[in-house]
Amino acid sequence: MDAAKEKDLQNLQLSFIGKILATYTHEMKNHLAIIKESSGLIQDMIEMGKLPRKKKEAGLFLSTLQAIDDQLKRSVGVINILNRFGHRMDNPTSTFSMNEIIEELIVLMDRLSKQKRITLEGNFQDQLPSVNSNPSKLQLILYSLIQEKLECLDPGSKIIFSTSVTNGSAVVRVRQQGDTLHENNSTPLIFQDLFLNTIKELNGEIEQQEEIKEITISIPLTKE
Amino acid sequence: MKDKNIKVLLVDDEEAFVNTLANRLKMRDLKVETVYDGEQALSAVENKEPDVMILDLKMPGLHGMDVLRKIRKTYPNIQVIILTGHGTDKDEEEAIRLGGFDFLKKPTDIETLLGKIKVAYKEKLERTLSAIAFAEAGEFDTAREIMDEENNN
Repeated sequence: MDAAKEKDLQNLQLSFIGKILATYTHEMKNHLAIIKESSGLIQDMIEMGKLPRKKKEAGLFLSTLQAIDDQLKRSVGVINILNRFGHRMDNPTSTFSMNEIIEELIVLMDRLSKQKRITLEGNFQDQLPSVNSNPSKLQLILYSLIQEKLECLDPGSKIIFSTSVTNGSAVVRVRQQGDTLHENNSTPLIFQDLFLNTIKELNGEIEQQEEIKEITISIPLTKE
Repeated sequence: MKDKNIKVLLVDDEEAFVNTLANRLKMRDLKVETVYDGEQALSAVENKEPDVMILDLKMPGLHGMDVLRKIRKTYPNIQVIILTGHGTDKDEEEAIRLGGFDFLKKPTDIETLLGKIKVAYKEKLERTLSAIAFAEAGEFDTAREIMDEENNN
């Protein structure tokens, strides 16, 4: 890839990381707000003398404690995923699970997709062999694909990711369930030169089957 | 001014947040209703107009900024306070330009929110009472100006 295209790709990666961080911080502020209000509610109950005296009167008290616990678990889950996502960039090439890098995107893009009322779903093959390639570039490609679909799919649609292995390559199928809001006559972003070159650089292939609204990306398990 | 007269509508897609905050405001004697998206908020105000709306920005479906626009146009008497985890400075400027009463970022203190709600309600009450007083004194033009000013805010 020439220097100008590499620069374009780096800019896209920066914008991708920025978007993921903005979404993550929004998500965390919501979790923290729930924890703050829940602990505040318990404090109110103590200060206003409304603490339950019997277990059967403790419904609100117990559900508030449960809400704190739930939010902590959700927060830790997202933090772990973000941490793993961050470490993907430690080395340009590494050995990784294709299922995991897709799962990371599904979690980190959950809020973005919910705002569009679109569901991201994973249907992963168990025991998928590891891939040796560039996970960050693959995530950028998949993120760009999701972003484009989020902009044009009807609310209520689904984007389903499935994985498998064929002829020594990990195969990711991205299928949409639902109609597009508007016809987009321009070439899908993922089929523009920058992405085609990136997939080529990873020795991969991309195909589109329009009749079943599916895009397939194949990446060799081992970088040749 | 009695707090129990203040009707508040909470609009946020995080149900656990809305329900807990509603409980806390009710414990402080406010009348609180809750909805979980922008469309529900617009339906709710058709049925019962609140004095103050606490509105999130990023929600599934209708964006909070669009809800604010519609509320200011159709229900100018409702005071709208934005409470969001997403707010940027640009969002804040836009919300105030559109007639939002105030802009708070999550997480916020209950006493800060309660204070803003009270000030918003007081301002609404004063304008209405002032317009009524002018109307009773036969100064209909002034009363109209006050109401128009409120509608244009």
